Amino acid sequence: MTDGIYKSFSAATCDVLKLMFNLEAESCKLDEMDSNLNDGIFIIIGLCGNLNGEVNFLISKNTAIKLIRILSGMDFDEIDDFVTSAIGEVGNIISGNALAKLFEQQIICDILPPQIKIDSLDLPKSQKVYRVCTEAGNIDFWVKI
Amino acid sequence: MLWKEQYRIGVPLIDEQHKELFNRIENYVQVLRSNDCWENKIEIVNKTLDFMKDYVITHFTAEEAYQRKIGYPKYNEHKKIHDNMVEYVNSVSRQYEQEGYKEQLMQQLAGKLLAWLVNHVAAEDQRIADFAEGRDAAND
Repeated sequence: MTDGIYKSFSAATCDVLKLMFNLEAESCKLDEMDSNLNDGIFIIIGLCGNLNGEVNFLISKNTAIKLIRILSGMDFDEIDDFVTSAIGEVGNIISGNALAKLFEQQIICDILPPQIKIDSLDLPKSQKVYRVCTEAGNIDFWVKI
Repeated sequence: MLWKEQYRIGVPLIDEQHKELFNRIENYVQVLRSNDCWENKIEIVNKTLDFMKDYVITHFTAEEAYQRKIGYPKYNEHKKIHDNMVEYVNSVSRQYEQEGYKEQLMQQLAGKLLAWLVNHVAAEDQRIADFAEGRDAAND
């Protein structure tokens, strides 16, 4: 089942990046977490129903700024409330999209509103981390259930 | 410009309204993110917020009428998405007034609204067009 969950979130991330940002995206290999990943934005989405736990997305600040520049057509130099809120909604949209894919596997669950943390979350020690790559940067995610 | 031709769903009424909705949100975001200090722009931010909120309702009402007209099978689901967004915007607006017009809430609202709108138009509303197209093809 875990494999199906990861595939759903991975496919949803690729779909949303294409649809909202017109970015080609694909799952790519992640041997180990980058040392600079602590300098990122964490989007934590609670899961309830057949799955209880949370999915965590990690996006570097640089990638987040690039994505919101594409989305808004405006220039941003730093992570502020606008960027944080927009990127949190992107995480929410990806998760909603993943739920539809999970439903096809008879896994029925719901999501809770996103929580955003900047530079303040421990990187996963035991969970397998997956990465989606685009020319704007990477989105890493892991699921705790 | 926020509006992109790729957001066009092929229903002239809806496309024109989407374009206007994007224009209003763009105007709101531009005012909100202008370099002037917050105290100097509160009044115009509030005006553009009201202007945008009015049009959100106008558009949702018209789009829902179109869905009913064509017998869109996911009408209830789609309406719920609209209702949830209206409720969210109204709730943030109330909080904004009660807390004395703080900038942070408006920046958060604008960021979420922008991402939500792009996804909603590009994904959810495209399904209405797909249904209408299939229905027209079946009637030909």
